[in-house]
Parts: sequence; structure tokens; C-alpha cells
Amino acid sequence: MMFGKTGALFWKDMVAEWRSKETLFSMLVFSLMMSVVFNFSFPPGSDFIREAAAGILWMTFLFAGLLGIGRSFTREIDKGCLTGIMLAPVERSTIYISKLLINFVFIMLVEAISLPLFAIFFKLDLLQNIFAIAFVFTISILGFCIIGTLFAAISVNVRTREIMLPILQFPISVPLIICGVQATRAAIEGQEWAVIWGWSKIIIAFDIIFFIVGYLTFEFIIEE
Amino acid sequence: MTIKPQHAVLTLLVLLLSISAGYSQTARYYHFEGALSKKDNAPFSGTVDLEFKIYKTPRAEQAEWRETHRAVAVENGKFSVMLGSHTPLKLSFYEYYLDFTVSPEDVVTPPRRMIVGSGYNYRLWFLFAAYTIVWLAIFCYVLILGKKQRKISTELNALRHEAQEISA
Amino acid sequence: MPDKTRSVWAFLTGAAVFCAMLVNLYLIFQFAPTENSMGHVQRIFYFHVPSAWVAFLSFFVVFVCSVMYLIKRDRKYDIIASSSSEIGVIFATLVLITGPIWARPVWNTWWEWSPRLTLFLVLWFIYLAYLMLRNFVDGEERRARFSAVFGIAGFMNVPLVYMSIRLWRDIHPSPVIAGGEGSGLHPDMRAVFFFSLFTFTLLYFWLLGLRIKIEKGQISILDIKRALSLKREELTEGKVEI
Repeated sequence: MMFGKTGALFWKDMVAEWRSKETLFSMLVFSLMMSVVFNFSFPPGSDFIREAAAGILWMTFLFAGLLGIGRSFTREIDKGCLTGIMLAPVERSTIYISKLLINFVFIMLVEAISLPLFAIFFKLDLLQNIFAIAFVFTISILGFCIIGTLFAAISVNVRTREIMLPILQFPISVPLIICGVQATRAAIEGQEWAVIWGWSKIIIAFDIIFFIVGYLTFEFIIEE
Repeated sequence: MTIKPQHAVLTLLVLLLSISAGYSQTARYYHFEGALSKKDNAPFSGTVDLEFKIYKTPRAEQAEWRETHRAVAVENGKFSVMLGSHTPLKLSFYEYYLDFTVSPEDVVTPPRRMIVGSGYNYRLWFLFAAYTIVWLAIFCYVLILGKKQRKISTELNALRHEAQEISA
Repeated sequence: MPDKTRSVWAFLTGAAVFCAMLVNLYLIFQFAPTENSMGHVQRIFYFHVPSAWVAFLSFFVVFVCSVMYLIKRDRKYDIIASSSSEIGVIFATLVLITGPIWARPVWNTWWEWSPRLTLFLVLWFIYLAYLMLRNFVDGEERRARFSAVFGIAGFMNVPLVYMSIRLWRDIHPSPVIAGGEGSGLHPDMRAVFFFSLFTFTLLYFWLLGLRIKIEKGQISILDIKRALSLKREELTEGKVEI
């Protein structure tokens, strides 16, 4: 039954977004622009870009992701939907899960589209280790959305809305960033699974711990 | 108790005095940890007699100070002694050079090395800077808290006065 | 606790901190033996590491109070959390300042991505974000709720951050600090270190007491002002009716 309600909320967001596609497009354009700008920051054809590829990929998706996650709540507030959701007979944590899933799906979509383009820009061969790369990205983006959804709900209620989310999000994302970048790099370079798994273990621990924290504390944020 | 500026100044004075007292002193003991190995580079274990000498310069012939430590336990090449326990040391502000000789001949002794008496001058500035910053930070914080406390007390008194007048 | 007892306690704690500090200074600068390779600069260790400990203690207190606030909804937990976080940030800043000051003469570089310093940098950002959140949220009850959630998230993050940094450092090892991390401390040094730890903990509790008093004072002021304006409204309404 809980899945039914989560599903319903999720579907509502999905349909709303699909009609306008504003968030998806903005995120996509932003991430592509960032990768081009990064490219200009280094001398053309330098080897350094390929070494730093994992880091650049991550920077791009972090900022684009932050945009998308932030919007998932501001949009509700702007259109006065949040009160509507809260009046519905739904447990608060269900709202958390549905928002989390929507953010996750959006960011994954954007990444799925941007990744091939990055591979072309930076001359990376991603196909060889595509499963490892996809795995690392999935667990990392999941973690990012888990805390992002929680903090977006907080920052939407704060005076300095736009800047508050990155300030809250980045320090807490540090384990994700460290492990995610290193795991991605290991995956791109084709290192053995044991190395990638070493990093992934921490990411998965992060996901589990913060999902529990988010699930338990979300109701305290959406309280009026 | 409210923190008054006088308390803070007094404490600051005491602290400053204590640092300067510390540095006018000369070191009386020196904790030395050393390593010994045999000529074939294997680590050495056992008991040795060590004679320590301190010189003013790297190549001085005359030692300023010497002390023998008997039956020093060496484990896996490492040992630790407290210089100054038999013959008092009086190392002041400069650099000194320390070496030691061992009784068994087949043990290699390291070359003369530089040690600190009361410390290198320039390094001392870092210690002083760190210490001052920590204490200034804590002081300023306590002073700020004291000021806020006083402001709150005055305001509370004024408000309570007002409350009494209104109920009258 | 009646006012009289409270001020006696405050005075005693303050006096205890003062005496402990004096003894601590003597121990650090006179009693502790000089370290072999680093010289006197190593004495920074005696207040660098206790500051780190106090910062950790403060953040732990923030965590516990955040959890308690969400469970019990008692304002006093929020008061303790906000005071503790402020003190924690101050001491974390001191760690970040004394660390490089120690590193420069010893490792010849101002900054080193050593596990402890990096962890403290991240910790500093987390609790700075906490303080900023408290500053920017309007509404006392809301502020308490939001900071409690972030306080919990922040602290739960600490072991993960530490693990990631350690793993990260393994691929770029930092210079080995000769005996600096408390490995194989001479018993005299260990004694001074523990006393310093004790003194700094005492200092933390004293500062916490001072800060909580201020916070309570500010809340009292707001409460009284509110009560007074209500009373004034009542009186003016009364006059108008007549």
C-alpha cells in the first residue's frame, strides 16, 4: 500500500515534469555547458584532462544535480502544491521517498544523456567498463539524492534559499565525492573490481545510513 | 559571576609571565631516543653502556658535557635515555651537537647529530604564535560573552522595572 | 537551580578552569620534556590535540541534543545545541590555525592533506553550515527543528568522512610524522597531554555554561517583552472600553 501512495506521488511529479520538461532540459544544458567550459580551462589536447576526467564528470553532475534537486521543492512552493500534499492522507516519509525517486530518475536521465557526450569530448573509452561505471554512478547519485532531498526540504524554508542548499549539501557530500570520484576513476581506468568495491562499500554505507536518517527526520521538516 | 575586563587583563598578564618564565629557563633534562645497528645493518638487541657527549659545533673536539649511561636496554635497535639524570645539563638557547659511543665494537654509532637546547630561535616563534592565537581567541570570546551578558542583564532589569510599573 | 547556587557553581567552575590552566601552562612549558626531532615546537601538540578533542566533544553534544530535541521537543536541548556548536566552531578554527603553524616548521609546508587536518576542515564546514542555517531560519521552533535534523546528519557523517579520507590518503601517502601523533609518547609527555585534555574539557564546560546563560537571558527578554506588550494591550483596551 505504501508503494501505491509513493507511486502515485512519484507519477504526479513525473507527469508534471514531462509536460514542461523545464527541469530536465535546464539540467542537461547546464551539465553540457560545464563540460565545455572545463575543457577550455585546460590546454587543448592535454593529457591532464583525461586524468582528471572523473573529477570533472563529477563536478558537472554535482552542480547540475543540485539545480534539479533544488527545483523539486521550490516548484511545489511556488505553485502552492506543498500544502495540498500535506493535507493528503500520506505519511511524510512517503513524500520523502517519492521526491527522492523523482530526483534520482531525473539526474540519472541527464547523466545517461551527458555521459556519451563527455566520452566524446574528453576522448574517453567508457564502453569497456560500462557496467562498473554505471554501478558507481548509480549508487553515488542515489546517495546524493538521499541527502539532497532532505536538505532541499530544509533550504526551501530558509531566507537565502538558493545558496543554502549547496552550503548544506557539499560538506555532507564529502564522503560521496571522495569515494565517488576515486571509484569512477578506477572504473574508467579499468582497475580490478576489488579496488572499485573498496570505494563503493563506503558509498553504500553512506546511502543506507543517510536514507535511515532522512526517512526518520523528514517529517520534522515538513511540519506546519 | 560576570566577567569583568579587569579579570581578563589580570589573567592575560599571568599567562604572559608564565611563558616568559618558561623561556628564560634552561633545559635540565633531554629525552633522547636513539637507534643502534650492527655493522651488517641488522638491528641490535641487548644491553650496552653508552657515553654521551655534547659539543658546541659539528666538528668540535672538546665536549661541553658528557654523561655515561650504563646498562641501557636496547630493543630491536631502539633505546631511550634521559640525558641530564647523572650530570646536570644546562642547554640554553642555541643548537648543540650530540654523539655517543658504545662499548661493543661491532655496533655502528650514528654520526653526530644536531639537537635542540631551548629550541631553534625561529621555530620558537611558531610556538609562540600558536600559543598566543589560542589564548587571544579564548580571551576575546570570553570578553564578548561577558559584554553580551552585561547588556542582557541591564535590559532584563529595565524590563522587570517596566513590568512592575505596569502592574502597579 | 536557584540563582544563588547557580552563581556559586559558575564561580567555582571558573576558578577551577583558571587554576587548571595555570598548572597546565607550567606543565607544558616547564615540565614536559623536549621532543627529539621537532624541538620545542612540538609543544603545540599539547593544545592542538586537546582543541580537536573539545571540538569533537562539542559536536557530539550538538548531536545528542539534536536527537533529544526531536524526541522531547524541550527548548533547553536547542539552547545547549546552539551554544555547543558555537564553541565547537571556535575550537575547530583553532585546530585549523595551530595545525598549519605546527606543520610549517616541521614539514616545511603550511598545509598538508593529513587525515586529521582534512577531517577538521570538513567538520568546520559542516558546523559552519549549521551556524548559518540557525542564522537564516526565522521562527524559533522551526529553527530548532531544522538545526536538529542537520545536526544529526552532520555528526552521522563524521565516521564516513574519516574513512573516505583515510582510504584517499592511502593512494597519496603523506609524510610520516615522527612521533607527532602520540605514537610512543614518553610517559611524562603522556601525563602532560592528559592533563591538558582535562583542562580543555573543563574550559569547554565553563564556556558552555556562560554561553547557555546568555541564550537563556535572550529568551527571557523576548518572553518578557511579549508578556509586556500583551499586558499593555489589555490595559489600553480596558481604558478604551471605559
